[in-house]
Amino acid sequence: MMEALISGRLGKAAVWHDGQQRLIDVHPELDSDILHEADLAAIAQGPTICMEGPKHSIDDVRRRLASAWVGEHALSRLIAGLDSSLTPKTRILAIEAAEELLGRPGADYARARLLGIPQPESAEDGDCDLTKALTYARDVDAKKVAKVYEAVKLNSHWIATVHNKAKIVVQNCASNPACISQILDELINSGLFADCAKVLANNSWPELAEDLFAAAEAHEEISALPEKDCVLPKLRCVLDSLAKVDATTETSVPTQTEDAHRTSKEELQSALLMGIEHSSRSTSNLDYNMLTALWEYQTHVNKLFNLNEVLTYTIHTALKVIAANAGNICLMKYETAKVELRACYPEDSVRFDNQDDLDLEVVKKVMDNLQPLWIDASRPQKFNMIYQSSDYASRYGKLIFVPINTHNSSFGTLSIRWNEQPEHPEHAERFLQALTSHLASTIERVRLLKAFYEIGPAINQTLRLDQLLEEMLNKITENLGFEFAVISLVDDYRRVIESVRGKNVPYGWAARARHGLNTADIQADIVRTRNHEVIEGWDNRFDKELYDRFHHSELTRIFAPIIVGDKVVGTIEAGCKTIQIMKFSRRSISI
Amino acid sequence: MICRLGQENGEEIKQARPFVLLENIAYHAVKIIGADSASIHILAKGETLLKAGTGRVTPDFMREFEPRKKIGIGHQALTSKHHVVIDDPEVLRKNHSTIYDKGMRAVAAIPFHISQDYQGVLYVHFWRTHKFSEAELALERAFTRQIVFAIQNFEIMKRTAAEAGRAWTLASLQNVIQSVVSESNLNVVLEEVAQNALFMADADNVIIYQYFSQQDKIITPPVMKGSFRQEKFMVGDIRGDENVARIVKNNESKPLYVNNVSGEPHLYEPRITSDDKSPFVEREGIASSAILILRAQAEGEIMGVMFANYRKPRIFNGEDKQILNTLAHAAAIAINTRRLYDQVEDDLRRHKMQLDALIVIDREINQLIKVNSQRVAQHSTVME
Repeated sequence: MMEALISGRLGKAAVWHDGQQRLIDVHPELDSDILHEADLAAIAQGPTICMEGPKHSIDDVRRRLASAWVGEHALSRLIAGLDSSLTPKTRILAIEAAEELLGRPGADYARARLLGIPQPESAEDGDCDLTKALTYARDVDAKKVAKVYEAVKLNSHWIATVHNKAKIVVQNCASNPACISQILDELINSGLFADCAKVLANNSWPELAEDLFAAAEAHEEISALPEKDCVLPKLRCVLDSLAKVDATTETSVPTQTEDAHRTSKEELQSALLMGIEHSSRSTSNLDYNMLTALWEYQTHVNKLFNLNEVLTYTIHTALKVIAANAGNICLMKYETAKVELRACYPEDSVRFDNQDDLDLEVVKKVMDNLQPLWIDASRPQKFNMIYQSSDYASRYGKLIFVPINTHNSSFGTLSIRWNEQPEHPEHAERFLQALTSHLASTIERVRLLKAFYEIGPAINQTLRLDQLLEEMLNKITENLGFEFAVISLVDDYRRVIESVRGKNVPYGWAARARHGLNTADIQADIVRTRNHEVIEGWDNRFDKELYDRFHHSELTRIFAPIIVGDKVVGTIEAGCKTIQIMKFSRRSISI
Repeated sequence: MICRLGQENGEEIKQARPFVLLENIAYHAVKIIGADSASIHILAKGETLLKAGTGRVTPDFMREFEPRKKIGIGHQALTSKHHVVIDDPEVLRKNHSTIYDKGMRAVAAIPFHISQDYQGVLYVHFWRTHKFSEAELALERAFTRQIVFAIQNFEIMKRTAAEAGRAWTLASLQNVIQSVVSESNLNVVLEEVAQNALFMADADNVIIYQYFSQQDKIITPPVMKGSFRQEKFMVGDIRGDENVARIVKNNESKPLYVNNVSGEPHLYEPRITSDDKSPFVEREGIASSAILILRAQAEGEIMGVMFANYRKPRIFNGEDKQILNTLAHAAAIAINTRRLYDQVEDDLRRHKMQLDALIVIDREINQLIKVNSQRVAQHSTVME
């Protein structure tokens, strides 16, 4: 038997039959013959939909859904058609259907109608309507409130409003333990133990508030653990200790009996457990999504070799995954030891122009502490809010600065800004930390590649040097007609001049010809004087051992400096046997 | 023209100098981890072949603060083949006060191996408190691989230069061979062999002794090339307790390549004869020596000994041995050829003398026969 129609969207209607969900197609022009066979079979077993209240034939429902499907105010049309027949329970089910369409124009309007409150003037008044809806729901059923929470929570920009409204609801529902437990359930699902505890503390449940504070503290501590699987068992421990709270606790609870108190506690415990499990599940989902995003990020940036592209892509990824509005990356420039803005999105979000001392102060502080820094007046004290008291937050909204840490130091920050309260700040922080960790390694890789890219040609310069010297030696011996030639280079570090390449010289000459620049050797003297010289036979500046060994007494040699600017980087020595007819004129060796 | 050639290529030469390349690598090694300075030291057989620095480590700084041999962290790193880090300023102050006083607060020495003869150390410095992480050191090791590539290129260049010299010298082997074949003056041939051995084996000095086994005599002065500290002792008779006499007496069948002469008794054993002539290797400061026995055939008699001596320790490689063997054979062939030639000349002279004697005898006999014939004729006439 069909139990209820609970959702309808874009031509599909969900039908529950004997506890199983089926989809049926709904279209303005459709006839029953275009329904899926399975659906028809299901429908055949129960020709009418049994909604609470008046019964409707399948055609009726289909027709209504079909009309609801058309146009921007689809849901409101649906509601308008069914409104009169809805019981409170069906309304709640219909809310779920409405929430399926959340984000579509008219959803807020529909929600308000569903809850039986006056029609808002426009869809933008949804916030106001929700308050009314919650107030209405409080009187009807706590579950309804919970459903509203659950529904609204799906839409991130509602979340902050919901929390504020929740407080109002809890305050109003303080006399109804069942209602409170539902509300707590939702608050706990959102991980807002502390908020919940505050509400309770202000509403005559101080001992529960205390326990919740403890739970909140434990939750936050545990949430920070890298092993998420630890969350559940550890929170269970907290709850066990909570359960041990003496049932005879303070009788100062003005409006509760002891039994009711115990019952409430049990309910609270139950709600907490549910909340924890839900939280754990949603955490896993979030983590899964973020891990997927990180994987995609890493896969993409691994293909990038340009640092600017990496930085830009990082900001885009961050903004997309954590639904933020703007971001930028500042990196330390080692040459100047200054932080500079390297990338930002959107373009006009540039703030760090090195003119703003406070900006630099924040970035440096984050880099020094190696820890993220929140700047948000609405965040609890757990977050580092050293700038909360300043006008910084009011200038820039909600910000997080995440250091880009490498090894045990930081070389920059990624800063992200939200215009509204971020939906899951802890997750956002964790994600950004993971992202910056990937970014750090990517920056290192890109820098390393860049360094290698720059070093690579330089390494080949050595081989080029060999080729260049060979060409020079060939010119000297073949074009200029010298019998032999040797080129020596100056080494600034060892303060020597040494032969590196020779032509038509015996083995060992180049290897042995190394002289300190401060010695009296001819090569060192040429470096000092920067003059060329022509010497026949012996000269006191010659190395006697080399002179004898290589029979330099038979040679007439020219020594000329290799000058770059005002610096001598080497010398050329060329010559031939004196016995040969060879005249070195000054003209032949000078420019 | 030469000056212009220098000017035209000066800039490119300047940028391509090996230490400039090392400076470049050191610069990037500093930049990648945000260090303050770095230096690179390339060692060839323990001696600094190249070095360069970046940041605060200027050429002047590097000259002032040379790595401490055997006790420095670079030496420790090379010995252990693993990086050595001092990033506790107090430890640095205590053990390396000179650089600490200059302002250095943390230093890492990362060793790298280039080839059998080449190795090096990359030093990375922080002039502020800093703890090196494994990841940082891993990054720096990546740079050491770049250094290895660079130095291998440099090594190739040096080897190419050396090979060019050796090739040029090898060309002169033709002269040796030609001399052996055509030159009648043995000393000229042996001088040529010794000169080539000096260059091609890169020895400090080369000596070739001739030995006559029948007389058990070593000829002095030997043929000598290269530098000698006390040349005066190379003349005069060779006593039985001198190096060369011991080698000959020992009748080694194979060449001796002595990397460390102090471990070779024939070379370093004190002499028994009391004169002012200390053992050759001692008075000339020889550290390594190649000793080649000159024989015409593998098992033939000793005709001489060739020494190629080195004042710096040398590990003889296959190429050294091949060159020296070739030259020793050339010397042995030259000596043998000379001696065979001398022997043939002696034989010819002897034969000629014998022939001359026979001619004289023949002449005498003919003369005698003639005289006798005349006498017989005269006697017949008388008888008639």
